[in-house]
Amino acid sequence: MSRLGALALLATLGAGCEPSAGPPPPAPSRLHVVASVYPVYEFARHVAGEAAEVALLIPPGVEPHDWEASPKDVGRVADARVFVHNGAGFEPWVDRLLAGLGDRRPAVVAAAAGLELLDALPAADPHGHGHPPPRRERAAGPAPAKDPHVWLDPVLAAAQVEAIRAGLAAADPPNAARYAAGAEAFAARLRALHERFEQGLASCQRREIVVSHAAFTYPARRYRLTQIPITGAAPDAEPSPAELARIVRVARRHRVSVVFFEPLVASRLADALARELGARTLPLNPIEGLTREEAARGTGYVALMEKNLAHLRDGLGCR
Amino acid sequence: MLPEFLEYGFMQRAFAVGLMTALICPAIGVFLVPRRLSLIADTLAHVALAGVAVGLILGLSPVLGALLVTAAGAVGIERLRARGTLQGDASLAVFLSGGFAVAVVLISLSGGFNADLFAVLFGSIVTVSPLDVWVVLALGALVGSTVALFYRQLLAITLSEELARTSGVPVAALNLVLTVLTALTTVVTMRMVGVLLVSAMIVIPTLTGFAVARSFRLATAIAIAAAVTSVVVGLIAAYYLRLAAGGSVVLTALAIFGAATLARSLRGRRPAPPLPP
Repeated sequence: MSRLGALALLATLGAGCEPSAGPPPPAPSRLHVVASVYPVYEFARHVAGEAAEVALLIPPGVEPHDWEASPKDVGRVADARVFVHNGAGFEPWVDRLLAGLGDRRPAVVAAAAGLELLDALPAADPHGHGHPPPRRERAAGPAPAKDPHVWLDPVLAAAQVEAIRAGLAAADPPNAARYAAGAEAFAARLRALHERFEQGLASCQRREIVVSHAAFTYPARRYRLTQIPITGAAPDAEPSPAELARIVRVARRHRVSVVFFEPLVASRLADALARELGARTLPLNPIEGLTREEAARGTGYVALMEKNLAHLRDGLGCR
Repeated sequence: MLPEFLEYGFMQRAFAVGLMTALICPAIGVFLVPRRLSLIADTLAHVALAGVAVGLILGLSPVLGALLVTAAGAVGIERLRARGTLQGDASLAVFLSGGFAVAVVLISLSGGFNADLFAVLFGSIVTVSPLDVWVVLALGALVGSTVALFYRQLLAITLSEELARTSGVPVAALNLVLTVLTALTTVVTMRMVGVLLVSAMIVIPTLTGFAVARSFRLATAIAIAAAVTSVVVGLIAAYYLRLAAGGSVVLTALAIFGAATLARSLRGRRPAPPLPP
């Protein structure tokens, strides 16, 4: 028999299994979900539990702002039943990728859709002493005007979890109850996390956080902190000497003693600023992705947020 | 009372690195430009990029990686040139594209471009560390003292290799020394203006010197003065006008060169020969 014939036979056999006439298949193929970036990947995994299979598109150790989809990645999205992304401009490549899929589009969940977005603070004086916001552009195009890092506020993270639950339930109604249970269990952990942030940051000596890029707008608003970003919304744009000098003045006025840097981005700038201020540096993770080590250890969102809380309390002198 | 732009440690370090660059770039350039080796610095800068990538991958300091690989590349270029295996500019082309190709491959292996590499390509004066300053000062002192020590011999080679050889100058050894000095200068300059603009700092002030001066020594002095002016004006402009520092410095150097050329033609003097006697 020719190879082609064998394939045709296999195809017919496969097709014969489809109708529900026969006995139910022992292991129904699970819902296949692809998530764009780490935060929504982890949220989707908690919602999915055992009922669906979730894969992450951007590999550990890669800065998501720098990532581009390869043809293989496009294929992975095309093969998924549900594609979960953060939205709010965090993954500028998503629209292009989905447009290229044509009819093979999976169901798409934008987890930040419907949330009220805040402007990403331009690297500006938090007291607004009349400086026009410096124009910031990346090589890849203008930076998004809104801060997409909604997941750093546990309350908004819970809203994202709910959006993902609704998306999975719509794509796979038989398992809707399991998704609801997974979402509720994780939402409870997020509520507890929010409590710990509230209490942990209730009384601090300072409330100004100097961070390497403007990713902490939402936790800053939730916990009444003031974010002083060294660069704007994108982590790789370097400030001009005059901008760095202005940040030095602002930080000195607030007696900032810690400069926060991001684990996935080289800390040159944070080091330079800390040197200028005589300050320490501490990591503050925007949780855009995991390092390879964190992925291997199985560290998750809640553990990373708790580490962030510990470093914030240390850097701000909280009791 | 310091002006505002010198109140900050990072600007003080930028000026220290910039001024050292301005002193040594023309001091090397005057021996390169007349011998049609203007592009050697650009070549070595691309080789240095490969060195930076090696440094990043091995977890070494990028400057150290750049120094080692660039010095090795310099020796390779000089070997090819001296043996006549390749014409001068052909060996430069081989090393320029080869170095860049190695850099691109190594960078892709290391997981993609990041802020460190942008800083190497375009220069980064706001993140110069005190250690960087010491490294640059030490390298600059090495380059400067070597040039001063061998000034007569290097001048003789620049005027005519043949003549220098017959009068007993160790041409091959000194060519090697000059190439390695060029490599060191390239790495120092890279810190400030970035890989893509290194050769501008070596070539443009030198051309300014040759455009207006009648003697080699005066040309060298004018070239250094032009480079120092470019660094000072460029950095101050970058500070107050919020411009990229490397580009500002090079554009200032170009403006000075343009003014010098204009002044010369207004005086109606014949274009200076490439080698003023």
